[in-house]
Amino acid sequence: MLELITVPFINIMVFIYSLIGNFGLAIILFTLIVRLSTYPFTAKSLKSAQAMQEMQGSDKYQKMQKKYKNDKEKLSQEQMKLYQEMGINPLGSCLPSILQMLIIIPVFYAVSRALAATPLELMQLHSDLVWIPNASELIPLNSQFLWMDLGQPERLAVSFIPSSFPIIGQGIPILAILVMITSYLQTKLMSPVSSSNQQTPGMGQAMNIYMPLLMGWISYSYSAGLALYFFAGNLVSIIQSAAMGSLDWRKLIPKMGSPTDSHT
Amino acid sequence: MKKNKILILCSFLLVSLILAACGTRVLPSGWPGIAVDGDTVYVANEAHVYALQQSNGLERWRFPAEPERNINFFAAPTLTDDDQLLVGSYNRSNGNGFLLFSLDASSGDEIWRDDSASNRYIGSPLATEDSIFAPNSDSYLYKLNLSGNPDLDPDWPIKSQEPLWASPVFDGETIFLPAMDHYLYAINAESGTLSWDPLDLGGALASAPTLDPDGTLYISSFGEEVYAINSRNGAIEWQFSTEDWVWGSPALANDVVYFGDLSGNFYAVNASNGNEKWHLEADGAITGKPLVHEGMIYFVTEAGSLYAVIADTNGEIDWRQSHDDEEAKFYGSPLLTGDLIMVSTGGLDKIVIAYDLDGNEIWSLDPNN
Repeated sequence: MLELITVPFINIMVFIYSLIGNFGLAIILFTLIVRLSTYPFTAKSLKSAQAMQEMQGSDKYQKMQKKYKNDKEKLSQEQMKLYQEMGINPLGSCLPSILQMLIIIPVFYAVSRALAATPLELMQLHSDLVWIPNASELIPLNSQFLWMDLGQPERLAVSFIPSSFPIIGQGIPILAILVMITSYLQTKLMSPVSSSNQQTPGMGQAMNIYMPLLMGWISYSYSAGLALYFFAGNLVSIIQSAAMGSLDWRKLIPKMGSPTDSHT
Repeated sequence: MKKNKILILCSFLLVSLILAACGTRVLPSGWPGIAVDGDTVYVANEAHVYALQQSNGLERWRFPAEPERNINFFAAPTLTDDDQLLVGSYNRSNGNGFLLFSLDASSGDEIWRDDSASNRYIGSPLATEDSIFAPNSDSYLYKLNLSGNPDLDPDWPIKSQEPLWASPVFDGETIFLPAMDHYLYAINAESGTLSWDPLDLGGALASAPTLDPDGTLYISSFGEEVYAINSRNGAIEWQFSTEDWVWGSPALANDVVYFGDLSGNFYAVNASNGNEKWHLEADGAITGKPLVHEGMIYFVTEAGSLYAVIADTNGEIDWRQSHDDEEAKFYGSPLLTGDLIMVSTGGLDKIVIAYDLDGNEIWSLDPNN
């Protein structure tokens, strides 16, 4: 199953590389293609999240919260009824995120297999490149992009930090830091506002911290090509949301909050 | 909403676990590198370099005695005239560099180590009378003396545009260095200057050229070509087109050049003019240099077969030995020592199998048993 996704990914990346001759740009363009092809799900999800926010701000919802505050089961049943009445799929808003999660592993394999840094990887790549004519002229792909070797974890060497210094002694992981920042912005700006249900805000806050840290850790530990995919993907998501008017910059400033916060 | 976030969180955790699992151990990324010398077989594979008794495969020593974090080997070891065994590592050492080790060939004791390189050693080093030329995936060809001290001449190390996976060859004056950047370099071993302009051979060059005593270089290319090149001036004497990438070095015997491609085609070509004499279709990709011995040609395939072909026929297969295990993969070049053929393997617990000249398995090495 994994191969069914990974092999086309490799061929698409190498095809783009054959057109532009730069694997870093090929990864960025590939990210754009992935995000555009999953755009219908993203759009649906954002609409679903907006509808959910509106619903949570409605008087009916607030009254229901007060009325059944001591009966969680009944509250849950009433919430489901309300979702149905308003045509909201409560799982709809998380589909794009899950889709992106499922794509990460094939992308991880596709990047490292396309760069083929070892003989067995190159043997595998030879079998994978079934749709690329004259692939031998392209091999090996140039893995250099800006200061990075896309097949290795990214570090920007700086002379003033001693090599024995923990974590950044081998260089500053610029891309991992950028991935963390953009992941934080993405989760913060795009996550729906929490309802008055008191369990959810805690979970939301945990996600806002956990996800950027996890993405940062993966970017720090694995190939720069994967980190570049994350970074480009985060930027595209933020831009997509901004274009749809779904970004609420006020969420970055805790005191200002968002309009729906006033209901909670 | 809570369910949504739990779902996303679970997806993240799953991805984390899978990615973490990918990084917990070094998966084999090359095939075992083999070298032979007299009655000893040296095998570089993952955490160790092994010295084995040729006749029965009994282990004489292994280096390091216990696996060390971040030290793995796949490049075939190289023996020097003064009995050093040179072997490069596949991992970044704690001191940041990728290590080239010199071991005492008889005891396995470490003599010196060099950490100049910044990437894997995939190709074997070349040892001359007084120098070591070590190609590395960081694109540099490093020059050291036999005590492991780098040459401080500013012309060294020599840099290509892409990684160096192939061993260079030496004619006593010039180093011929194939590179993955598609170019063949001819470098004066003393001065480090180019003897002639680098030659673009249309595809990555992953194996050592074969040097004929008359001065002709035979070299294979991923550009689906095998070339005969005049080593004195870099002129292409002929080129032969194949169906697929050619990875292994060509073998030369009795004015015939033998080689195989990754589609499993095995060719015999007239060394003088590049005309095909015959070819046969084997059962899998051929990645190594054929072995020519007493009128027979031996080569292995990724499908786990060892072929014996009669040289003075039109490709008549004398026998084929296919491994019982369907997972078996044979890579690289079969090597002859005494009356045994050493084959490096993948997909099995065994890392090397010794066959006799009739294709019978005599012994094998399973490092875990």
